Amino acid sequence: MTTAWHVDPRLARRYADGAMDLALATSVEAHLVACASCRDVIGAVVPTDRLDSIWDGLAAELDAPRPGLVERFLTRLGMREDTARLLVTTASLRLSWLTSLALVLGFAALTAGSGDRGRLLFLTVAPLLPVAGVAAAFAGPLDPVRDVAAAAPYSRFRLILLRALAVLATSIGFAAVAGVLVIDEGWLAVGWLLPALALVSTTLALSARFDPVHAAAAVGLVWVMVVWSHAPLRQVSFAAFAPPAQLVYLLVTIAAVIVVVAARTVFDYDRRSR
Amino acid sequence: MTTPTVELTGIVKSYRRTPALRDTTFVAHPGITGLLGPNGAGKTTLLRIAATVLAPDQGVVRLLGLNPHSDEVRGEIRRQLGYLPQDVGIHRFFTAFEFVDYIAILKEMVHRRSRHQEVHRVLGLVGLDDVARKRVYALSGGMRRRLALAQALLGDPQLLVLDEPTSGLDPEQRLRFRDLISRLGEGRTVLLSSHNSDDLAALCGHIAVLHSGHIVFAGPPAELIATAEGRVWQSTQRAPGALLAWRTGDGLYRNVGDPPPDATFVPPQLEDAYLLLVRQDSLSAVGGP
Repeated sequence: MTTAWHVDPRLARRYADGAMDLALATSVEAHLVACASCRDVIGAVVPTDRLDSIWDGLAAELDAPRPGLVERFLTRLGMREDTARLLVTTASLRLSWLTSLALVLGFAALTAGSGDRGRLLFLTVAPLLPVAGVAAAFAGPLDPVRDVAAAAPYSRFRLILLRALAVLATSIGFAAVAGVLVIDEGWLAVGWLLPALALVSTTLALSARFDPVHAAAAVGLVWVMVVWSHAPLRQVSFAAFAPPAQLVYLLVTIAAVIVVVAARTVFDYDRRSR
Repeated sequence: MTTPTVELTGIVKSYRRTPALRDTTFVAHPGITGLLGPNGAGKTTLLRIAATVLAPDQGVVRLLGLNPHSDEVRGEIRRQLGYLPQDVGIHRFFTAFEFVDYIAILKEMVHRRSRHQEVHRVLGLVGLDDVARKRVYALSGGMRRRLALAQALLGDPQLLVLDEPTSGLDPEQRLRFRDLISRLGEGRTVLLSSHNSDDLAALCGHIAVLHSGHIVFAGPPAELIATAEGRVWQSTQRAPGALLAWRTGDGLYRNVGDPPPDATFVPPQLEDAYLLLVRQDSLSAVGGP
């Protein structure tokens, strides 16, 4: 194919250096497709290191993970791409974790249908799930890259809060649906919400000093004792979810949040004697 | 001599009531510094302190001239730091690329495209660019070790803290690692612990021997080897004064310890010197052939 117009050396140089504006570059490229001699002209002046870096960039993008559905959804909502990545890599936000979460809640919801004892069981379990999730999000054995992450500049405190919030949001969402479905008395269906916040924030506060899994286990144990101490063998009591108790959970939450914020450098620079 | 890039002074660190480091002072300069010592000597604790993962109970830490005690300064150090822990568990469901990309995010590489290029670069450095898209569970042990090293190289850090980087590698991989680490040691500070005294002798300009929480030797490898001069000899029988002796392939015994007057000395190696330094007390108690 013959055309009147060809790429002159000056134009070729500008194209090769990447100094050409987009419109002109596009028309040069359109011409290059058809014109072998101009391809030779430009090919001779493109520096090899520039070609290499373009090629490396291409290879890097090919190898790069493709953002999944959740990740794309989060970035669509305006979350930064790197923050979304950190969230979806949380162990207790993986599909396997969420599946077991749904299963546990499902069983608890089933028992809730069988009377007061079952409902109390559901209300006991619902706030424990985010506690387990938060502990799993950053506990030593469950966060295999813990030491690498600790030596990285990204604030560990920020990472822990970010993941704790995400875990809290997902498990509360699950439990809310289940609660509304199985418990018909309005206030009781959400009665586990403040306990959940209190338990999670207390677990975080204790993690400043102790291993997160131990902290979660201790908090969980105390919670079960609190709920069921009101319910001796025969009688079921929902006293642990009554308004006075709710006020206590609110105060515990506030106190624990204050401790967590005050202890934030401990999460960033480990001073514990483990 | 240049100013030290790692200065740990009077470091004390205990786990519950078990002391790991007792008043340890350790200095490293640009180049490769090796850390040698028996299991439980405190090597990992010392490296974790040098990697700003752990704060000491007592003592002063200065890394690249900065004190990690304050939050902002610690961030500044961490931006110039690469750390390879002794065992990096890697999420098995990650691909090799995803894993390094994840750490790159934690290293505050915010811009997506340039981050991906950096991940691609470090995977190339450790020779894993071909398996970038493979899942971690499909990689061999040696590959995982190289993958773990790759993340430490992100951002071309000035200070590299490598805890037993060559453990679990086959001989060829180990030599490749040696090649890579020696190149990394040009112009940067590399702290390296290893049980392999050959690796340390080959790579390090400076060696520190840690024993029960104390630095018992610090200096060039040749100086450490020289301490075993006249303590290693050959004989036809297992010698009574030897701390350790073994029969070599040529039928002669190689003895390390207190030689008899008529001993036929052989040139000592780094491990002989290390052995004499570290095990003397404990082994002489056993004594005898």
